[in-house]
Amino acid sequence: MNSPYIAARGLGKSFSGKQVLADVSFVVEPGDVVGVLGKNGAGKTTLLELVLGFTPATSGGVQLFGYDSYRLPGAAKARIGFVPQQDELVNQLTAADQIGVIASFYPKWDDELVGRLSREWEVDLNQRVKNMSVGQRQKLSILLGLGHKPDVLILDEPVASLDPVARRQFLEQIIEVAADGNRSVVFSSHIVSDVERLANKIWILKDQRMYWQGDFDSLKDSIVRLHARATRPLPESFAIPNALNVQRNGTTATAIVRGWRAEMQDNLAQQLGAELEVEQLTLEEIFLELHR
Amino acid sequence: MKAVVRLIYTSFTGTALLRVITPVGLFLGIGASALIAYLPPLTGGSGNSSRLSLWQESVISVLPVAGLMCFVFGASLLPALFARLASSHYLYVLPYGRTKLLASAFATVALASVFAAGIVTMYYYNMPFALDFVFRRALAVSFVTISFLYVVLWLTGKSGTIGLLVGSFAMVATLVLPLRFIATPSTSLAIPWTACALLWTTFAVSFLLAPRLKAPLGRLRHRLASLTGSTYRGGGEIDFIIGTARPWTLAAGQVVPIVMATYFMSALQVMQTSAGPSPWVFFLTIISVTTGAVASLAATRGRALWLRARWTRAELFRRVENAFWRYNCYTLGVLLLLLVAIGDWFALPTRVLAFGMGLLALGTTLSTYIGLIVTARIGWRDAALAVAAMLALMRTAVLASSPTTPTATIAAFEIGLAVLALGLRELARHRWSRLDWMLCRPDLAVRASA
Repeated sequence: MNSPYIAARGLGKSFSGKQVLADVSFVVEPGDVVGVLGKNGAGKTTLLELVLGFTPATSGGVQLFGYDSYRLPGAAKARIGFVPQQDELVNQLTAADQIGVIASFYPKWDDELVGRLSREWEVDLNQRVKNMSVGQRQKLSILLGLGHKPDVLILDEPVASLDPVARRQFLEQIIEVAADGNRSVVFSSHIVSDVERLANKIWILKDQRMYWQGDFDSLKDSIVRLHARATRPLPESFAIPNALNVQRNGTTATAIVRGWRAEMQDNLAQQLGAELEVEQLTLEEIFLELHR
Repeated sequence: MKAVVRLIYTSFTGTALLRVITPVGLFLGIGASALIAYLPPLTGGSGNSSRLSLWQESVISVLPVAGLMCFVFGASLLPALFARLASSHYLYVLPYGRTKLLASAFATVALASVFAAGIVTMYYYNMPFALDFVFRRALAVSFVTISFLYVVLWLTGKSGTIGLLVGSFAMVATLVLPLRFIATPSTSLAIPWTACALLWTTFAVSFLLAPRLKAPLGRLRHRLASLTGSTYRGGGEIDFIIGTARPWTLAAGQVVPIVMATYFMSALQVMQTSAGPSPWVFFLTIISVTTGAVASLAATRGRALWLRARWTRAELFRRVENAFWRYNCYTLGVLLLLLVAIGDWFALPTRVLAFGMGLLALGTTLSTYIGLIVTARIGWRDAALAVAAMLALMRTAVLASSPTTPTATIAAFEIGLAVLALGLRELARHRWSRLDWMLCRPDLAVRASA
């Protein structure tokens, strides 16, 4: 079995006494495509910055390729690709010069890949960065993160400023990266449908903690919407175990249940004296229900 | 190594303008130096016989300096490139990024310095001087000068286009200083080398340790911010939004470089040379134009005021102009005090101090209005106007500190500058009355510095 690319244990971070991330542990294996979800301020960017070693952890730590991420050697850095939330390009340069500068830092750079993607994504390499639209700049940032074919690609809300066509092209490219099987992608996004389409693992951050982590199918199986229909009015004491949210209306009730297992259905139906229907949720619905 | 070479190459050729300036600088510098070496010693109008006319000699002796200025200006992308990469997250993930970036900055400065020293040495090729001695002196002085200038460029470049312009000008103009030090061979090289070593060591250590220093510095800044409170106070919305809320920061901050410059010039006995107080007055004049860097962002920042207040564009200009003059009172006041106090200490002629005071006031005024005329992307005409104004200002600084310049000439120059300032004010008022915020949107860098 391959050793994990990223491993974090008990990770925590606070700024000026304010806790922004607490007791987070996770592992990223080769081939994983991890989508990080969370409301604004949930700690997504902090988590990614801790993984990349931009800032020291207040508690716990992250190992990246077996090294403490805060003290990464140059050889390990050559295996990382990063796309920041806001581009950090040099305005005065042309796109080609910007690529040339970043490429020169890496021992290997795939000119063919970058050339192909820049054509497909319609990034004009002769245009000055300053004159590019926000979307064009973001595409260029993504090219800079992909050009050296990193083993671990970390993207902080990479598609926020892309149009739907560019977003789709970007997702296809990430799928191509992930298809390699030896590379990993960790990305945060508010566009839940993209995470749903792309990720095979989901991390949900809530209240500065890792609320849920695992593969997408487990998440969908684990959090469901239950519809209960009884012949008589449901009692006042009506309760469903692990329910996140219950809405009762006479003889019917709807509940979002966490930690659901199929074998629970008959038992619970008998207990409530009602007919139960289990509805699977989309990732967006799960995310909204968790934050209701 | 590949990254270092690429960064150096990009610093010299990163934009279309630099791709012209750098080769022109190389061609002029090397070509004209070769010409000086080939020709018999230039007599420079000393009365000795020469095959060349005076104008021919003048052109030949100016060409290498023009080449040198072009070459050094050709690397003016270095501070912007360095600042952008240094403040980005890329530096954390690029392999050995921090070390390579630092090495490239050092190598670029070294290249420019060696070129400058080479040009200076070639001037003495046909003269009875030990050329290695001249080269060592020129290298020491040009290395420290260019190092400081790029730091100045980096700092001023963060505040906007005019800042970059002023910084660029400062860099080119101050290159004449090495010639002064070469002309006085008795001065010790210990001071420039020590200054250089101190500057680079401090810079390198703080740059390499920046990731480690980030957290404690952040805490310190947080504490200081909680002590000083917000820059916003009720009724001070204009200052807060256009960036004139802390006049004391610049006013007090300018004391340090002026005192340092005075110390170095005193130690190098510049004040006692034939150049007299020229470099010092020159330096003070450069400092007086720093307000322009803040003023150049005023139109962009003014949009927030326009959206919230019921002012016409003309009213907005009037209020912004007032805010800048309140701000200038602090910075100019401190500058004038320093001019008089230090000038008195060195027993400079009253005439120098009197014209110097006018000059500093004119420097502040000109730079403020040059900043305020920036209501759209800077075009060639604005850039040329700004450079011409700054050149006139610097020329007046040199004339004002020379004892041989007739008083009427200096007065005429200062009156001319005052008229120019009035003209710029009218231009700024006119432009603000038709301000189109679609044309002066903040780009990302300006937004970040704002």
